Amino acid sequence: MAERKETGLGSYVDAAAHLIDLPIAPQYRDNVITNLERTAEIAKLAVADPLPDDLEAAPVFRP
Amino acid sequence: MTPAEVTGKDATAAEIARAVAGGTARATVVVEAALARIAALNGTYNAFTSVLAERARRKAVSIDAAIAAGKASGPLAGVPFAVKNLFDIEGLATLAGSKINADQAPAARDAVLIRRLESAGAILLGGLNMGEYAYDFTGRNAHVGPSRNPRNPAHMTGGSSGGSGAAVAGGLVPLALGSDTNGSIRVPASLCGVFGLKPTYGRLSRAGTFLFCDSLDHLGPLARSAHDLAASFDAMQGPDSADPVCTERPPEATLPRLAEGITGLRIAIAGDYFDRQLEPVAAEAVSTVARALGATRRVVLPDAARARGCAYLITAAEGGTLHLPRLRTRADDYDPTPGNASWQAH
Repeated sequence: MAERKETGLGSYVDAAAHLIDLPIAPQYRDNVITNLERTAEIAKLAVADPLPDDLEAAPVFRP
Repeated sequence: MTPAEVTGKDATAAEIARAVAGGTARATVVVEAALARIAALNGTYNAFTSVLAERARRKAVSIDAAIAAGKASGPLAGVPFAVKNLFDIEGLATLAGSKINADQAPAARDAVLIRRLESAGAILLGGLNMGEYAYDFTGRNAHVGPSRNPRNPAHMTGGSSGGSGAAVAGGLVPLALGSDTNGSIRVPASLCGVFGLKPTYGRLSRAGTFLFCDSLDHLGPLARSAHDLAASFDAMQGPDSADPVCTERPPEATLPRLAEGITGLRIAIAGDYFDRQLEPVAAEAVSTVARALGATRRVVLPDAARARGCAYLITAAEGGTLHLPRLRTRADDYDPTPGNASWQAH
């Protein structure tokens, strides 16, 4: 299957799948890459603004 | 209400419970009427994936006997309900909308919320269709077919609690339970024209359900009145050590406060992010509701797009981790549309 030059995520998907022992059948690989590209775009939103070092963690939620 | 109305498709949980507790209707008759509606309409709505007729009949007999003996019958006496099939139901494999989970051992006991509703007198009628593993907004299901919207069966129910929306909107039952990670109660309730409640995180125990994304999963009711949402929510509240995020705060009864209406509540229209891509028909609906509630102020929730993005990422990461073992061995048994690839990508 042709590599996607624009993001290079195909190589990442192959390496990560190997690392976590997840075989990805050829018929699914293209959609997996597309989905990861979409996820990477969304992740940019999440990390767009830097967080201060002294930001308090809030691991306990009391509804 | 006449006996015919109490057993009809439009009867609310409150109306049924009042009639059954007051002796003007019998739970056994209410249950038979609901079973008959399911038999007649489920082929169209595809809401139920399992129907527990004998179990429901036994429960109804016990409720009628208790009432005849003058015992307390509970605030939901004789109210038929059903649950999204990610809730454990004793004796059934918990499908969570999947083909893969059909191979699991049958659940040893009911989910906590089923037990709490039945303790209040409600009667479980069955399990409901849903999007595979709750990763769905439309109500489609590749394995058993989509749930269909009773307002127009050619339309989607919304998802992933699609069967819950269809069962309530179609009058098969007055009350259903669903789950909501990123909209899965609110979307089908909206599209099917019923009421849904996504409670505050941790308010209702999730013990005995097949979760999707632990950090964002909520369980809650769908019904045809706010009163029924409040009554069922109150019956399900309370701490539960089996769900580590379930609050230990004492239950706060909501039903007694319904009569207060919207007095004292500040209601505004969400703008900015929520205005974008708003189609005219949706904008008109928002305006209608805003007029009814006297809401004139607009509010901007900061970083709504980023919050949505974070929810997507958290869901993808937790959901992907949850499903990794199955993806290694049974990828072909997942829904073969792009959702499958979504799982594998995380």
